[in-house]
Amino acid sequence: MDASWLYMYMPIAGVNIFWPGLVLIGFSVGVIGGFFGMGGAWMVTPGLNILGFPMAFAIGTDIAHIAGKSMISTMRHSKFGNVDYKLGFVMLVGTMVGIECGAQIIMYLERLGMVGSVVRWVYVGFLMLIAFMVFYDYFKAVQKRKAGQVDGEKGAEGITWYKTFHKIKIPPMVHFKTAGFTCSAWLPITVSFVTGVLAGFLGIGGGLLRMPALVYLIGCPTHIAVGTDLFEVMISGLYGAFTYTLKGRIELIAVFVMLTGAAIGAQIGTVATKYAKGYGIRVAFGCAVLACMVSIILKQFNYSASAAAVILSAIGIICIYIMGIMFKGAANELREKRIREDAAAVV
Amino acid sequence: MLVVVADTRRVSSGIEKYFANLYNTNILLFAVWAVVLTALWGVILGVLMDFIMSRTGLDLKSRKIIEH
Repeated sequence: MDASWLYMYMPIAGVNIFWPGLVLIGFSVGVIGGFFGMGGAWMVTPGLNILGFPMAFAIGTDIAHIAGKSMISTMRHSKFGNVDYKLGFVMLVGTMVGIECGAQIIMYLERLGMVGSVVRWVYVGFLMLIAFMVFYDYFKAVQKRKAGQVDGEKGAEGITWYKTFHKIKIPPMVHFKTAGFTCSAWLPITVSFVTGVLAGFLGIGGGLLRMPALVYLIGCPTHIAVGTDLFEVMISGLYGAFTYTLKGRIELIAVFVMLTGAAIGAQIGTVATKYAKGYGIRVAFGCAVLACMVSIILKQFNYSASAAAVILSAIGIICIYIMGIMFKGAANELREKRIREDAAAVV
Repeated sequence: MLVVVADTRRVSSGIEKYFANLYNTNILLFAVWAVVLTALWGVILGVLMDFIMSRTGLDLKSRKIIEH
């Protein structure tokens, strides 16, 4: 049987690519990105590489796809009221300046000839820190909950560093209506600058760092952190797409094919946040971070195939978990709606 | 320095050929097109999916924030 129709020629990268694979990658990352509020470059790049893209093209194509996918997810999150645009715009200033500073540090390290391993180990260090923070926060919150301690509207919380940061009253003080708190504008600017520096330094979109920073340092409810972070990822992704295209490292046809899958996945991931509890999102996020960390360690020791296997398995498991939340939640909602309508018809 | 060029010999469609040629001759314009088309395709798909999702009967405009 002739299977040539399943392959698409990519004129810039000069390779024939199995296009259903592109749709599947787009779909999976759409689900995961919409649920966690991140771009997911760490998942897409190895996937594209396995499909046959040279690494340089995989990164550029990935960034452009992330920008488009985040746009679709942001539109959906916005309707739920999960995007604090004011916070997003304030943070954008710090993010952009930070990314440029991070890129300059990388160029300095490149001149010293020590960029590769330094970047990877710094990345591993931060991922370890994030995973520790997420699980520590969860266990502390569970303990407090069992002891009957409650922290305001949000219920029992493990890490409450943001409360200390909110006490800093350096003007201008800004109220973020959607996120529901008032703080010095310098807090989100500083946090986004630091996460931007790290993103530029590590060569990633930054969602992996910004989402927990929004929750633990700025004090956003988890759902608002997810939506607002996606807004940030969308803008920085478009900027990244432009600069990577100028370097000639993008395959536009692959971007569009992946976006088609991502459009469906993003709906599932985003709507799933409606049925998920904040701490459920945080713990699943922690597991994704752990998978990412393990894959980078494996790569550092030249186990590239095992690294890719870890990432692809993690994508599969997390995707199924999120789809389970979405379909179960949606089925319950429709059932309850039908019962309400039947009851109203009887009255 | 490694220079990458798009292989236009194997491209048959008019639009694909235009963009492959643009990549080889004017990378700045190609970059602008890449950003504009990515954003445009994102919006089109977003609106289309929005329309499809609105037919499912789910409430897609409100949600409760529950942390635990």
